Amino acid sequence: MTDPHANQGRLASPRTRIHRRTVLRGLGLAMALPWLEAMGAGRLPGVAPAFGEETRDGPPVRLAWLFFPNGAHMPDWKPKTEGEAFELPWILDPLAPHRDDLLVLSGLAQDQARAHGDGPGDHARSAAVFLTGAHPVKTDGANIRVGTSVDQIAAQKIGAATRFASLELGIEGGRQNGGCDSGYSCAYSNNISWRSPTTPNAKEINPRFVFERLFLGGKPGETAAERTRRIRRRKSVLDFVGRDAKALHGRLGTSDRAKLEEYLTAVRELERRIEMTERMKAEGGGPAASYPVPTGTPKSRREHMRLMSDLLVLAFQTDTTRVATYMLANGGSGARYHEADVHEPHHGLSHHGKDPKKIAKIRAINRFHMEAFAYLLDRMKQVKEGEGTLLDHSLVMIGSGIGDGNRHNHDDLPVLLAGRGGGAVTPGRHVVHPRWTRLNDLYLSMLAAAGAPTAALGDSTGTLPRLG
Amino acid sequence: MRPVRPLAFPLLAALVPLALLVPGCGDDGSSPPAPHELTFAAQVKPVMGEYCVGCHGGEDPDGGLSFERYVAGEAVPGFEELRERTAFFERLAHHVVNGSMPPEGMPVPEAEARDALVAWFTDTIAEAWRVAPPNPGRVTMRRLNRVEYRNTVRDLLGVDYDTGRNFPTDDIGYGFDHIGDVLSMPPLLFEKYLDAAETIAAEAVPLPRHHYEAERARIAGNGHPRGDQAVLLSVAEVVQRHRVIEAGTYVVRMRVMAQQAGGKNARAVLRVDGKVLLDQEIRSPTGRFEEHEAEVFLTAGMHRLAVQFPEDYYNPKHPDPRKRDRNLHVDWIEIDRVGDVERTETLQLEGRLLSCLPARGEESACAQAILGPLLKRAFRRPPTPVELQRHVALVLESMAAGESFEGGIQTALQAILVAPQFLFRLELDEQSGGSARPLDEYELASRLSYFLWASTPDDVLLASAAAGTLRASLHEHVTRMLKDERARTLVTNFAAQWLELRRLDTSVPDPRKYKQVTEAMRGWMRQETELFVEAIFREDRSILDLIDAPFTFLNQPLAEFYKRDDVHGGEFRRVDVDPRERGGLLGHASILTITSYPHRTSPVLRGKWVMEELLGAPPPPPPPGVGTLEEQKPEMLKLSVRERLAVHREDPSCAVCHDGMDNLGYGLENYDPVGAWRDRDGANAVDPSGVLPGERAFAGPAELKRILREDPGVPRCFAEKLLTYALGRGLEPYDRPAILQIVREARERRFRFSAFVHAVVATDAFTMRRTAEAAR
Repeated sequence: MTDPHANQGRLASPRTRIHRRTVLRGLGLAMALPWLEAMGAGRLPGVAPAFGEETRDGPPVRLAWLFFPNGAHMPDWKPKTEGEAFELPWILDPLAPHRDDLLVLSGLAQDQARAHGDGPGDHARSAAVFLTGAHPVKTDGANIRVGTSVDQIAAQKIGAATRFASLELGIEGGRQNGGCDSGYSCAYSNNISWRSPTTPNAKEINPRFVFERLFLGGKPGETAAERTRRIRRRKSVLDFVGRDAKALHGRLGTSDRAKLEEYLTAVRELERRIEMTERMKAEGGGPAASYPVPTGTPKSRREHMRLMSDLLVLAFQTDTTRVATYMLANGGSGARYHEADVHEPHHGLSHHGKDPKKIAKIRAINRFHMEAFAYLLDRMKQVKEGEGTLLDHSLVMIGSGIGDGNRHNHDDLPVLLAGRGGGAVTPGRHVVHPRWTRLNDLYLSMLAAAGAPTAALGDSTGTLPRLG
Repeated sequence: MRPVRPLAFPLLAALVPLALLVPGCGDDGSSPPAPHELTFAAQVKPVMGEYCVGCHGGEDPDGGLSFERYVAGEAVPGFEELRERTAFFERLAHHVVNGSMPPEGMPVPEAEARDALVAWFTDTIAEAWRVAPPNPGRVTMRRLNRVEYRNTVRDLLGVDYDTGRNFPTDDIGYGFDHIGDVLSMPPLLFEKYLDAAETIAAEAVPLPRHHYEAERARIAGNGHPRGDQAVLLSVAEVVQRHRVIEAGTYVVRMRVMAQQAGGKNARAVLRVDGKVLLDQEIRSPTGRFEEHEAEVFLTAGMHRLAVQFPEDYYNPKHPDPRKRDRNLHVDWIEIDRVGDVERTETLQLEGRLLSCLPARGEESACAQAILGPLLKRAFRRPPTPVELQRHVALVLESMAAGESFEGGIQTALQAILVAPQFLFRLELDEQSGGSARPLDEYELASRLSYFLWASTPDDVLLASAAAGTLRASLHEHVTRMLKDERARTLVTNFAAQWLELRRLDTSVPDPRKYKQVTEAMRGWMRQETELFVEAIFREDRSILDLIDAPFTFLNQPLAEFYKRDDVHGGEFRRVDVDPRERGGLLGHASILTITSYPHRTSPVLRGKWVMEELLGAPPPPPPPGVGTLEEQKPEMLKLSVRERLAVHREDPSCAVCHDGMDNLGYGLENYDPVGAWRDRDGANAVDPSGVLPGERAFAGPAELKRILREDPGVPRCFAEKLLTYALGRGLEPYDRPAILQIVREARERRFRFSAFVHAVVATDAFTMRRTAEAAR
């Protein structure tokens, strides 16, 4: 494996772009545009910033949620003391440079991840519940249903201001065989973002595709004339099939209609995006138009996670979207973290039965994920925005839907919140909430901070106190 | 648990005069009690009251399972309940038959009372199904999954589009990745479809003219791109590969400029596939571009276009700095088809997508001639007049916007490739009346082709549907289709998913212990199993041969892995195996690897696999709070896996499932975690013996396979898997009659593979659809 940083110095020539996947590394620094310019390019003329009167002027608040599976080894996660004077335990140690940008939130729970009469399947459930706070219907296929996830509520409310309402990233594709968890469809384990209670939002795991989708609006190597022709065709094709689909609507039964609705939603979304991309181009070209394209998915998991983080930061920085989810692995993942010197599957290890050897490995994986998180925060802090950094204007949560992987509890979940949300949150503390405080209450607070106040979501009871 | 031996009880006819039963009767408390209700009160209730509800009753019933309402009140399991929960009640009956319930140490009913209870359930369940209203179910419209999309595009247009690389993974339901209910259409995927449609349309309908910018082409030798040109400094060439779809005469053009020096004019050589097409002297002075062209006949396929700079000059001492260096600048290369309407005859467009090329004024007619057949094949039914007319209009609109005729057809093809009629397999619901309707002939053609080929119906099927003869000749079509190469998807798609072979991609044995199991080796393991299954299918053997056929397929590396030295070379070939050690799926390294932990075998996982995939009796998930069977206590670490499992089975709530599961796995303990044969496991000698419920003892893998071959669960499980795959939906309780029918018909033909396929295709579930009204 070559040194991922080795190519950094050769950024200048656009000629060699295809050969370097890691080149995004330097982007935050190379990016000359201050956020206002970049945003101007991304925003529709005449569309007011979505975070209207109740928030102050300045950069918009961005929201991101990161998920890791199989819980955490809580004794090495949870700080011993509450308040500002807490010390970072071993797992969280990689986050030391960001200690003052972090809230460690203890006591939060996802009650709906419990069986409630549905028997086993905690891993699928914990992923499906993670951002919805709703109880998934136990099914291997028919009538998949959970709830709309918090990122999609945010996307509905503040997504219209950006080219992409939301961004869904991940590291692992869908499992290729068999059921995923005790009678739960794989849709539940593979997705945390739910556009509607019945439609999961597939995530993108290939960095190159993410980049092309977000920033090229075209294909590499396409001439202007080819692009014009392609966009014109695309518009007429979308218009054409949209009408076809509507004509079909009355001739279908209920479940078929639901599928057709998904189709129509997709058609409309694409039409909207083309329109916004066109306007953006008319206003002087895409913000990331001149950046090199990552070539594919790195073999190294660390490198893969970093590249996805780079893209997430770039998307926020250029105001391509303000809402993102990122699954570091799928629910119940059995990934092997060779780079953390762990060669057994993650899920199997999480049922450690108090075996110290296995616990050591679980801790190592937890810490590996925290290193990835630290990298993301690092990148966000490198982006200067107004008086502060991108992280100051963001709220980034990371957590798992399971507490201790050995016990499969869903209270006292491992949850961190980073950033200041433009001033809504005062980090640098460990806050312990009463047992079974709803994680969804935190989501209401995050939505409010981003100018998307929402009365209720899933099993929420109100906003979460003691964030400010 | 599924039958572990056939139920053989005297039918208690006197107790259950089934013939008198009327559907629905007895489900309603106001009618007089039906005979099965009377026998329940007399024969079942007292037994359950005495032997079951002690544990399965009260506040906190064992396993969360209470029979109290049947004992305390007047409740009798009605026909509807028996149908809805058939699997549950069958499991109940079998636990009682096997003696696994009541558990050891608890009082047990007399044989006669026990048999009466079991007979009541088996007979009443059978009767409940006999009187059930037929129900073929409704398949939710199915989006083409990645495999189907790729095959469909290949068979429709001859274009191979790598969906595995370009599309997101399809979610899985019921063990397969093509279940209508599960396949969603997020915007991300739709975007991929738009991209794919552009790429595919461009390849399927070649535009007559291609323009290649030299700076983006490959530059071989001493040259480099500069601005919007390629600059060739010394001996060098600009190379562009180009695919010709229609053979014919083409003109190739280049735009070049020479940096003149050295007393002679620069030359540019245009080559096609290495042959010189044009050796052109550039007479213009430095700075002025020239265009040159030549004609050439090209066959269909890939061609190499090149502009070469053959003769360099370089004299750094020349007094005039502008005369020191001779270079060639290339702006672009173009290729265009020659001629217009006349070429129709010469190029033999018959049968091709572009079956005509229009003269002026004939565009509409020609578009119609092209799109009619295309739409029929793409939508898998004839287009309606409105659909055809709208697509023709789209071509004309594109031409009005400046596209060529081919460009217009491309646009229409793009629209087709993202249309709901193409992406989804639609079975419309407008016809009404009755509880179920027969599928129309075209819908049936699609079901057949996606079942047997995972692809679109061919012209033979469509012609048969058009003639209205498909339903009447299903058997002949199936026979024909099974012989087709495309039927291999039944191995690569159906069997590979059924047997969970795709898990080999992610099952990585401990690399320190099993160095020889590389990624390549796992690929060969998978290939062995696929070739073996294919042999059983193609030779139309009994599917029971999957369990113990004494042959397999090996190449040299895999043979050496199995410690055989009689196979040479990388090619797989068929070999006999020693039936005491190998033979059948359970001796395949592939299956044995995916059912092991990285560092040790797991009788539980192997047993579970056998129960789920071969016996069709998935064990219920463990009760809440139970972890996986790992070393819980340090003192247990000294015991063998087998001994540890035995300890945990002392708990009856574990034993009820693990008795079956673990013992199945014991029979495979002679195979290590990657499937190599072993007689010892560490310090312990391997004990491959076991006893399956029903007191079926075996001494090792060969005897275990003999027992499995006799198990009625195997053909039934195969029928269930195949029907699920054929329908693209999960099976429901109401599919039970279809399963029994498939097994019955297959048994008559000694469980030959084709018998299952024919029987699946003959079920109502396959050929009919419940109507929307009935579904409500």
